[in-house]
Amino acid sequence: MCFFKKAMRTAIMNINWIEFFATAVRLATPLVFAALAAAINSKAGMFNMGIEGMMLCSALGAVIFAQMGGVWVGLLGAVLVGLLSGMIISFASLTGKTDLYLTCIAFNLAATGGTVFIMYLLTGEKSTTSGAMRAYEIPQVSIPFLKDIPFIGRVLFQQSLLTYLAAFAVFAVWFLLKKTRIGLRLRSVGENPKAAESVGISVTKIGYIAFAISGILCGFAGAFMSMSWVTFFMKNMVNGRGYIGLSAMNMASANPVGAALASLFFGFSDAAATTLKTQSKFPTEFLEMIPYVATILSIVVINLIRIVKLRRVEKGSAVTAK
Amino acid sequence: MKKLVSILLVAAMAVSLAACGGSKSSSAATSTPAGDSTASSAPAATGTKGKIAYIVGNLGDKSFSDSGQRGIEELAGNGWDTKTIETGGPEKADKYNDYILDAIDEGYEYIVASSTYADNCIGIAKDYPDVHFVIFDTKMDPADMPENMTCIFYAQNEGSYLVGMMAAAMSTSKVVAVDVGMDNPVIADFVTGYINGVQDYDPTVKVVKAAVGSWSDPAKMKELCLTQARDNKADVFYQVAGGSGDGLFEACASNGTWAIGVDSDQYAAYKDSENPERADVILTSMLKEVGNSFVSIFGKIEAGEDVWQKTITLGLADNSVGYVDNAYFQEKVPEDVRAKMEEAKAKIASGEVTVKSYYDFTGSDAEAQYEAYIASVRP
Repeated sequence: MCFFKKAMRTAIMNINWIEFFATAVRLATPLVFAALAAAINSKAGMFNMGIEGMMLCSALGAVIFAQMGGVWVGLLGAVLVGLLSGMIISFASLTGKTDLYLTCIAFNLAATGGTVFIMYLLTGEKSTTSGAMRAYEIPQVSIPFLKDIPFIGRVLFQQSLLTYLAAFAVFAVWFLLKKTRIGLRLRSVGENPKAAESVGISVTKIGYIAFAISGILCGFAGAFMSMSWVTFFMKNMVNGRGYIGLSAMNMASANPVGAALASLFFGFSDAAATTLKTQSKFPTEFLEMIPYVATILSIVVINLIRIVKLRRVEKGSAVTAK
Repeated sequence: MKKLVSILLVAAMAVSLAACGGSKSSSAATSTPAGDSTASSAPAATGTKGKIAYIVGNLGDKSFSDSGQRGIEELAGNGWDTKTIETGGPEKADKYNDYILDAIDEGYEYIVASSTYADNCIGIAKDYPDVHFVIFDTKMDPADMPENMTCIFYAQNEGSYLVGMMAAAMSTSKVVAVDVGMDNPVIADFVTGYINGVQDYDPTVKVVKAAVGSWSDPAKMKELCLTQARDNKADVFYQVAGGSGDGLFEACASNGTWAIGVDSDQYAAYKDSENPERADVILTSMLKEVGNSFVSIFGKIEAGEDVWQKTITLGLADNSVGYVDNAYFQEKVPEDVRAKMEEAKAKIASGEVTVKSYYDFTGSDAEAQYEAYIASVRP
């Protein structure tokens, strides 16, 4: 125990905390997009497991399209590929009436192999495009004045353009779901598709719209992976971040703001794991678990809180009934 | 209508799945023009010396597997009938046996496979006494080995020692890093040799070691290096991380630190690529000449030497490990450092200097001894 304390004390002394928080925000960016994508689908009553595969396709799309005209074409390409992959899943499950879960699993598996296949067709490489394709990076943007605020300036206002876009997307998705007609329809389909159908809302159409939006968001997530975090595509480079986004959404029961906060929490635990790897003697395998254990623990804690609340409501209603 | 659409979709899905499943085998065939075309087009003419199957996870890593592939291509040129079989990563581990058995059924009498397939090969070797197995990149006790198997082991600690010396010399902050994909005995041997080299060159230089936890997560690797540069002030990074290593080069490019490549000449690989400026962070690469070792062992087999049921260790003396000495290395690394590296190389090759190895840590607490060794050089 004494050793543990000593290890932690030296660890805390060596950490540049400002950079640590800035890193956490950066690491959370793709998770925020993924969680928002999952939230839109979830509100429309569809649990989209295909986010991982959609991100992977977009990451490859970003790198390929960037070759044709630079970083912005790449970003557009990533969004288009994300959109297309959303359309494939929704076409299969909504028009083709396949089971959504199975479709998503099939899509993820197809994306893992398919991206390597396409990369091989285009470049002859089977592992990475780091040598075979020109690297493009989405610029870092420092916001004037705001960046000079101590601490917050570095953490929040010297980030990749996509990180700001992620913050904006949280607001946009919230606005879409809560303040627009389409958002209302989307939620009503999610709550009760039969009832929505009976008042003339096309469930299929809403499903397509939900997948289109989540596809675009996955496009940004993928572009962040291959044009900002690193500047090349590598097979299976998303490495489960899509699933983490999905569980962030789950933690917040599809509330966009909550999902973004949960993603930030994962960003922090990921940054913490990385920092501890370099600062302490804990075994790597143990530290690797941190983000995932954090997921399970936080889902349990949040569900417990929910249960307690529900009990209170039940008790309350029992009292008023008397 | 809906039924028709769903049938079409199922068909499309099946085709796409088949396409990605098939990508591995079809790419295996096309990526090995030298080896495979001779194997399939004119086996009778070229297959006089024997049939060799090279079992590999995936080609295209620009280091370990590709180095082996170059050796296999050279063997094909020397008159061996060769075939490269790509099995895919650990997620396909349940099919490893099938790939090896298929190769044996096709008449391949020598199976060349990395340590990943060691257990599979040991299991199969007993049932096929006429087939010979060459397992590379591992050490095995002859007692545990079937009669028709041999092991090639590389003294990666010796090569790592030399690049470790250079890292210590090039570091201005007196902290250098070594980042690995995952921990295993071979990787630990790299780390041990590197630390030994750093410390022998300058005992005041500290070493930080970390593992990414994956061979294909460059994003995590980049983050790890940036953290080490920031919090530990490390300024020379040695990657032993396969695909994740690309993230290390990017981190070095972004914060102006130095990198050391591994297995193949990674400077050359980047220099001919679409991103030549990325090569400029790579001072040198520790070489592990997997391909050369294949050529040499099959030369011995051809000469009728008994190579079976033993572990063959190849080190600096056999030119199987080393470092890249190119123009960029000569430009950036000072003369006296290079001279010291050459001197150490000669001494190690002659046996005058022995480099510490992970395999020196023995007993039940070997792992703890290794951990203590790393801890002793932590900043």
